Amino acid sequence: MGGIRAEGLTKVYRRGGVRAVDGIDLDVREGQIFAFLGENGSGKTTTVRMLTTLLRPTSGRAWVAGFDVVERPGDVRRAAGVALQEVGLDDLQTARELLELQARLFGLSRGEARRRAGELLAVVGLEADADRRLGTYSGGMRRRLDLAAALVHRPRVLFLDEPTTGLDPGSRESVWQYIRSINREEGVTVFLTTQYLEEADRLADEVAIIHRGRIVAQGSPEALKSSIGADVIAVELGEDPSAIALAVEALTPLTAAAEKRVADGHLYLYVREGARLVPRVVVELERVGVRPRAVTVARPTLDDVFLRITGHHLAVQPPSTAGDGAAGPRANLRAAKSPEREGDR
Amino acid sequence: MSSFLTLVRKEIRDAAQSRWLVGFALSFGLLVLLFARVQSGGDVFAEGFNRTTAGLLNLALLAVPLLALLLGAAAVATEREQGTLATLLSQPIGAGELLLAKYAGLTLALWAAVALGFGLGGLLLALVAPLGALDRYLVFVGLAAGLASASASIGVLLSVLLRTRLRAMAAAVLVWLVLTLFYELAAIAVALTISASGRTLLLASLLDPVEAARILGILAVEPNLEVLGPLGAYLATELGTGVTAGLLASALVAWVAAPLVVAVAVFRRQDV
Ligand SMILES: Nc1ncnc2c1ncn2[C@@H]1O[C@H](COP(=O)(O)OP(=O)(O)OP(=O)(O)O)[C@@H](O)[C@H]1O
Ligand SMILES: [Mg+2]
Repeated sequence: MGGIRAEGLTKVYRRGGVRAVDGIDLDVREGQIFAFLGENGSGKTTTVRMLTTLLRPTSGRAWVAGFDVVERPGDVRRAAGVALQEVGLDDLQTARELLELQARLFGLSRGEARRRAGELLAVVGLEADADRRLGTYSGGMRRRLDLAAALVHRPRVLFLDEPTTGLDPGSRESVWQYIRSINREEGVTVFLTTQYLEEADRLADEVAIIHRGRIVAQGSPEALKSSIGADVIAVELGEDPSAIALAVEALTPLTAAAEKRVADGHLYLYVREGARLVPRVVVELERVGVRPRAVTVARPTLDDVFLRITGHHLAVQPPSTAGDGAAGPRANLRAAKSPEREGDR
Repeated sequence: MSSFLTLVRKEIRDAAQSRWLVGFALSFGLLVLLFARVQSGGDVFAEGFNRTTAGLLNLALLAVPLLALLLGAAAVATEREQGTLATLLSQPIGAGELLLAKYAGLTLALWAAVALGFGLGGLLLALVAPLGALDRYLVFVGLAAGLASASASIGVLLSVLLRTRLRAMAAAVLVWLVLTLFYELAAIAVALTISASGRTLLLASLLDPVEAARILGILAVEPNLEVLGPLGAYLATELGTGVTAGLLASALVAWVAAPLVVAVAVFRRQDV
């Protein structure tokens, strides 16, 4: 079996006493693409490092491909490949040299190592650039090389820590494509971490949202979205607190049972048959003299799931790669504004 | 096994590419020549425990441990800081295997530097003066290599324990000072205050690899133990030259093994 399991996995860093991962349970089935979605500092890297035997869990247990990560680290490393978030690459090496060295470390002969390196360069589309020094590689090429390096020993489980962070949409799309093909063609189980809703939505069979070291929601993207059980009406009000308070009060009779959230100058209403309700929302707001900048209705996205659970949006999202992207039009709207939000910090 | 050898080879290549190896060998060779010039002519090694050999021995006893301690201390910590350690350790290589391969590669590179330094020095010496006692010279080379192995082992332990390069290298300098300078001062102080017995002095020299190597070096040129003062008198009457040399050599071997064993044990359980 080539899955991943964890029970009560916990890591408290001695330095600072940070409870970085706080009792998480996982069950990733063989052959799945599993996305671990969370914002900066939520504990993604710490989890990956525990699962790949680089960090010792403070408590709890975990198995990769059936091997206990603490008791059988050697077996885990043989069964798993990992592309870490921060990789130290030797800029003077070429991609081919790096892959051949790795293959030699796994005990392949010189000839076999050369063949394996050639195969992997083809898998990630780096053949043409294989003999250039890594110092001249773009971010996307480096990430693809990381992916290839993680695959050298034909692992059954692949860990990818933020494989597309910082990449432009085109490179991101190509990395996704390689991840999918490795998963489909070789049946490799993929555990990837991401801060991008769209990545989780488009790529993963199953998503777990990690927040402050705990898994706060888990399921297929579809299941997570339908867990909201409603449409989302977003009323854009701006940052004036009195307008928000007025709006909440005015809309309460209309949407008594519905959940509400205020974030980012928006009031979000989770309601059934949102489209039918929109005109009445506008009328009610008009009545109390609140003039929203926009009122939109949409099917829920993973962002709505995240917002409902954590009370805030996931931080800056990259420009969407597709207009009908899973994150939906509202995600695009926010993405367009994100530089300004970044500037606030 | 083949992955172990690949790692060792990589380590040696990295060491050869850095400038310290050639730099050390060159400067050491030149210093050897300098000593010979000061001595000006004559068969420098045939005269027994003279100034040249004493100077040469002391030079090696100062320079070799410092180099080996520093390089050992940098070995693991540097890779940890660069993130390459995590990359290596996420692969199917045992943590213990990795550490031993690093140590082996480093030590072989150090041996090469020592051999090169002494070789160059010997060559230059042979140009100035006929080299009488080659066997003694070779004993020195062997001692320097042994001391390099022990110092590198201590350095690697510091590198594992202290995690950052800066701290590990600072500690390496401190250890070097203790082993080479303070140790001797302390030994003298002890000998002066509480009329130390030969046995305590022997034990003390077993506890310091530099001191053990120094005594071994002296024994190689001057088998008469009396030159060693009260310790020598004790050794002469109680143990004899052979047993003494055996004891000191075992101490050096222990100084290679013990820090490594601890380093591997700690490294295996450590977070990257
Ligand atoms: N070596 C460490 N020592 C102490 N605290 C740490 C260490 N590494 C991480 N932390 C803390 O643990 C928490 C989780 O960090 P982690 O790197 O796992 O988050 P992440 O989800 O990977 O974040 P990012 O998206 O920024 O990569 C953070 O609060 C972080 O400050
Ligand atoms: Mg991270």
